[in-house]
Amino acid sequence: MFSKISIKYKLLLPVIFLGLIASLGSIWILFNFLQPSSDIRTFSIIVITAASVLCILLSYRYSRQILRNIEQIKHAMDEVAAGNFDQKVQSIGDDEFRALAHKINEVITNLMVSNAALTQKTEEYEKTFKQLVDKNKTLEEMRTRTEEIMEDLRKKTENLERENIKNEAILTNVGDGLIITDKNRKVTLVNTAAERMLGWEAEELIGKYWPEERFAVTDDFMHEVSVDRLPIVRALKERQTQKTALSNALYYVRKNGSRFPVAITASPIIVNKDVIGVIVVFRDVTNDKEVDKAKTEFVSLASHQLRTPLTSINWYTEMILAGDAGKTTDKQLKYLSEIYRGSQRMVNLVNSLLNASRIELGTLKVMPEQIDLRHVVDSVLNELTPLIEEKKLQITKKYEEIPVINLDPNLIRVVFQNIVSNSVIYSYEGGSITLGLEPKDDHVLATVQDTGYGIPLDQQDMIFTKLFRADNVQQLDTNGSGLGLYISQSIIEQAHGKIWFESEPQKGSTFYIMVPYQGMTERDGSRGLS
Amino acid sequence: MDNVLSYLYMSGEKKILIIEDEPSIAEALRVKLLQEGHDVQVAFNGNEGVTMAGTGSFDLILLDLVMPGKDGITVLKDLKDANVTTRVVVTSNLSKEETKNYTLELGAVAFIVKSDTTLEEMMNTVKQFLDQTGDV
Repeated sequence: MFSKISIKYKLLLPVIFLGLIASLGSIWILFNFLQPSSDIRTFSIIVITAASVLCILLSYRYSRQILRNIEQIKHAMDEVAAGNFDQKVQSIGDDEFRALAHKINEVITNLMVSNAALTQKTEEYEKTFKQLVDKNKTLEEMRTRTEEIMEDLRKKTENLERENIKNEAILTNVGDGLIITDKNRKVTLVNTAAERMLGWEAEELIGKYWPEERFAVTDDFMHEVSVDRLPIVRALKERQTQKTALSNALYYVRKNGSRFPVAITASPIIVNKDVIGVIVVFRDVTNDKEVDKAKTEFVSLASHQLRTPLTSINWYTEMILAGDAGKTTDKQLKYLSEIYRGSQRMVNLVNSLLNASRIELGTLKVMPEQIDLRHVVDSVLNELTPLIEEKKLQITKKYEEIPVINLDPNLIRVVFQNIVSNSVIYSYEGGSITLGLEPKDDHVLATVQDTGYGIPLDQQDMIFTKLFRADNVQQLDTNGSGLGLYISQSIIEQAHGKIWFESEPQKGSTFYIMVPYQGMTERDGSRGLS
Repeated sequence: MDNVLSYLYMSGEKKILIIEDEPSIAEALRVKLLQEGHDVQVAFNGNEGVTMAGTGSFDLILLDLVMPGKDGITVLKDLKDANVTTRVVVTSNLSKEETKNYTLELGAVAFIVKSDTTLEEMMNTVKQFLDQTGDV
């Protein structure tokens, strides 16, 4: 309200001021020129005064009209400025103002349209913006998550690298020779010990087929060992760790051509059920072989020397028992029988020791011929009949049609003799034994199943060990030598077969003997079995 | 060991020579063979064994292998060289396959591992070869 009044006066005051100046000016001029005639002077004064008053009145009227129009325009402009486009400027007075009002209304209308369009656009932009903000937020979250994952990965990679370095250091520095190959037997890693033992640099071995691309593996008799018999090949094929025995050592060849015996352990590397390579660990067993040979030769010599006094004991006891030294009392006879039995056991033990030493010395003679394993098992059973009847054992035979195999009759008989007699000896009275022979892919599988004492769980790992006897049978039967299974395993391994078992204490044992169709290879050793 | 002892029994049906350095073993064999009614002589070393085998006409010789001085293998060779045709059964406590084969090559008719054989089985073997005397 106050601003309205002040504008009005700001516009009116100069007009009034100008009218007054003009009137006073006219009066002063007329007074100077028209002084002689006072009538005219008076008239002029009246007219001029009247004109001045009229002029002032007219000025006032027009000023007000202009002011009102301006005020209306200003009001409309204020409303528009405040965003209220619903305004019309009323046309007052002359054409110019009407035209102006019309123009202003047109502008307001245009502005209104533009504003509506703008508002719509703004809304759209706002919506898009909101979406963008949301997306940005999601992206931001994803970025944070990714960063976390990256950090995690980096740490893991770091740990892995550290582990790798550690593992490599371990592998490189172990005392045994170590060669790692891929699944095609191409060398990927050679450790320092292997380099030292073989005389080859790692670079000379990496990428080569192991071992035939560098040398041919030989056996105790300098015979070349075919590739498919090598532990590494068997580890790949059978997906199981393969070891060589000291008694049946293989020989590696150094770069300089000299050969040395090695104990080899070849283990398949299995990742997600796939064999991706093999780890071959080997040790120079030259010294072990020498010690073992000396030991075995000692056993051999000692055993022969033991036989002579044993012969004396046996024969003289036999003579007394036969009455050659006169009449004996029943008690004497009983005691002598004990001596005789003990001596016989000693003879058997000596023979077993000799057999073991022959197998270990590699001097065992192998003379294969066509053998039907059914006859072997039958003959062993026949031999055991008195004991089977005494213990009232139920024997079941499950023989299938099997081919003859090239085997040394004495050696293979020893195997079945040991396994079947163990079943008989270590069975409860009235127990049962099932003997099976069935053809498989490339071998005959023999099974000897009993319902006997079984093997204590904690000793199952040991039962093929030389001179080992399980606690339970040691108490029940003192006759065993602890050599039967050791000898049997050695013989079966020489025939490239396998022997294993399943056993539950007090429930019984099942022994499996795998005899490959390829059979035994003839060998002109110096000794047969005793 | 140079002490040479020999026992001569004239009551037997067949003449048998035992070449064995171990007195207890030789005695057991002697007693059993006497029981069977044979004429038994014992040489306690290889040299004496070869001499006795060359002079007496024996129906069978039981020969040990491991003996001080002249061993059983050499005895077999000497007997061959001396054209002694008496059957020789090797009775030893060696069981090497190559030893066994070698003695058989040198003319022994059998190879017996004493510790694995009862006296009764020994006597059966002796009887078996005595029954064949003259077939050489």
